[in-house]
Amino acid sequence: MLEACHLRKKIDDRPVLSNVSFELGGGRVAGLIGRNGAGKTTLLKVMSGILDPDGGEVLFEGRSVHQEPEVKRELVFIPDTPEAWFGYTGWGAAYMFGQIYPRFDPLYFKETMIRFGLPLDRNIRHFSKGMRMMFSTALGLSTRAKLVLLDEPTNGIDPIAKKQVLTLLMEASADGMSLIVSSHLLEELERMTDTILLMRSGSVETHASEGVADGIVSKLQVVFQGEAPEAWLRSPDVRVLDHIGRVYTLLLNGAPGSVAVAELEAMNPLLVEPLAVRLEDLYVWKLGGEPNED
Amino acid sequence: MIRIDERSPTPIYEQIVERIKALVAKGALAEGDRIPSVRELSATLLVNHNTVAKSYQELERQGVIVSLRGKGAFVAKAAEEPGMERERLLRLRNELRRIAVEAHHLGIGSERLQAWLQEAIREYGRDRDAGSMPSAQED
Amino acid sequence: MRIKANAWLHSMRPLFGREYAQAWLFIFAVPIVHFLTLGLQRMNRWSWSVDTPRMVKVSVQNGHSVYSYIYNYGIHEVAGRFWLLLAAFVLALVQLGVERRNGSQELLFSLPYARGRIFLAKWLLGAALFGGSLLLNTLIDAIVVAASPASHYWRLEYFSVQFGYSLLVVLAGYSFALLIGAFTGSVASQTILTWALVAFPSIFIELFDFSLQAHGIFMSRQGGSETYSPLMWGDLLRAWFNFFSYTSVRYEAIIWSQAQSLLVIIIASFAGGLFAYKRNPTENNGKLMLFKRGESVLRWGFILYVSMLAGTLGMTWVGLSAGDRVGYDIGFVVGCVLSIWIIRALLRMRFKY
Repeated sequence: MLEACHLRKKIDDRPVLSNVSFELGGGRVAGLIGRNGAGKTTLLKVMSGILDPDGGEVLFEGRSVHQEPEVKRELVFIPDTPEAWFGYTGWGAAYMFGQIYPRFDPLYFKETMIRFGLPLDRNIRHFSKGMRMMFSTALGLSTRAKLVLLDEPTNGIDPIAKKQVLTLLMEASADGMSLIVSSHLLEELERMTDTILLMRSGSVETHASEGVADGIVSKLQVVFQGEAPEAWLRSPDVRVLDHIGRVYTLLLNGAPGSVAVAELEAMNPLLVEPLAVRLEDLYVWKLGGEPNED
Repeated sequence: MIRIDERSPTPIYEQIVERIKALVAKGALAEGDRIPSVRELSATLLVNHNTVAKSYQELERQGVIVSLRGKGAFVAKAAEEPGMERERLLRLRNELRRIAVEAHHLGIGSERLQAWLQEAIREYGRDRDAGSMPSAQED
Repeated sequence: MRIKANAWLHSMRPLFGREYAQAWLFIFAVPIVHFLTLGLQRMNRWSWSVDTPRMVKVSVQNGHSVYSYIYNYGIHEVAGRFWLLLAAFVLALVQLGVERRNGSQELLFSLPYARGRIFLAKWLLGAALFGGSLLLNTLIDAIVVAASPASHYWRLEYFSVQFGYSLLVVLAGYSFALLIGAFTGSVASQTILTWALVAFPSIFIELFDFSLQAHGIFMSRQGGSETYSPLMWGDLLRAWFNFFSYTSVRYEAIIWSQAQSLLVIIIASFAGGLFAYKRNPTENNGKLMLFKRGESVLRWGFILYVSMLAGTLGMTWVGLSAGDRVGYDIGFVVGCVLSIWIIRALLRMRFKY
């Protein structure tokens, strides 16, 4: 449904996107993750036509988002702040979106606003941060568009509001809408999504959310015989997450062809206990060495 | 009523299957009760709806629930005839055998093992009416 | 065909709605202030006049020209045009510069509309506002004169020429302001650059003249500023791209060629604005200039401007016995160094406003 082909974008002479390609099928929920400043927002803005790519293209149902902006009737971007709606009330914003998006559902909008406890006739400017985010999400999802891009929808909101926003996302997804959600909520994303888009050095790696680290990295609790093998622990195939006394928690390169596991077995450790590998572990494995670019 | 354990190595869809089966076994979900729709459960658990749908398919395959088109999914009539569920029964017996073996190696006496089993049966067993006390609430 | 046009207008409605929401204050303020400058002045002259139609006739026969006496040379229209131009500048600022910093532009660009359409919606809203205000106030003006003792001298030609000409002036100014807004990245740079470019021809040519004179080169110009033949390109520029003279022209001095060049300015500015807006590099919002090429033009223009200004100042302040030239050159070099340093810092900055 959505296809990004070789996207490139430089901002202030810094290559933010160097070669982004991925594909997303219909009815999918994708989590967009990466370090701060890795280009998540830039990517979302390129996909929604706010930014023009320097190279490559974004195809929505086979048609270029930049060449044929009409295809965006089914593609909505929800930014991390609804500043653009300051001066509008909920009703005002819904009225405008109702004229633009063919499947905009005012009833759904009203019900969601009421569910969130948001007033429909108050200026958005006077909303608190959490209320603004909930309003944005409600408005964006009310378009019932096929694909909705959300930039950090849970940023800076309290746990109850966060749960409400995520619940709304899950319902929308069950209703058949596709979502791309940029977020740092790795635990939630792992469960909610079926695809993980991991941004790394200006490009995107696609992973299936189920068994996200299978064949990439494994997580072990290890107790070595005698001294810990410092050199081995520093090798690129090994990352020490923590060690308490003699108990080490390690990430090992689990890619086919990696000898890390065999090397560990050869050392004959006292204890080797496999742990469940979470998205967070993949994140640390892939991005732990990357400097935070903020 | 269903909680997902993040740290568990068990895949989420299996966790949902187990939890719902446990709820049915405990009687918290009785035959004919409507179970939450995929959309509802996906939204409350914050779990992808495909995952929930996969669990429901598995539950249906195992005969724990039945879905009626347009009406939702309901707790099915529990298996009356063992023959219908031969495969699952076989697996259950193997599981018990494995537990007995494990207990042996851990040096657990049969008295103790039986007591534990009784405890589990009291909580989830089907002869609840036969004087056993109501189970503690799940989660 | 009509159905198609209707559908097109229908699809533009949200864009007009958005522009209206952004600038609704203007919709009311512009015609009212316009009335204060034009209709009200005319009413002051004629509605409460003690003159009788006969007295008016006698005055005209005694040598008062119709247009100077009845229509006050058209200076109320001049005032009206100045007001509308100011409003056009502010409206363009709201529509483009302000929009860049409050997320509005990102919202608009994420909507299913081509950017060209968004720009067109802006322009049409402004054009309708100014056209409407002009039409309304010209009508009021015409009614005031028709109901006055001077009604004998009511001239359709006068009102239609003033309306048409004023519309061209205001649309030219508005389109030009939008053009500047389409390639500047912030409210500050749009403001400064709009005024700098409006004043550009006159100031640049004066500075250039000074610079040449400091080095002993005198360009020959025949006669005074009104009559010299426009030999230099700068003089041409000053004649054809001078909003001040377009606006302040009195009724009897309005000529067709002015209307033509205004039309050229409108078309060129609109086309340029559309072109720039379509290619709007949103990521550069907040910078002085949106485009790399714009940055270099601004850089060299700024350096040249400041250097020549500093040279001229140096010439008047230093006053060395060696003559004007040394003073000018010292000032020029100082200005050059300073401006290179300043513009480099400015171009790197991102402005909230």
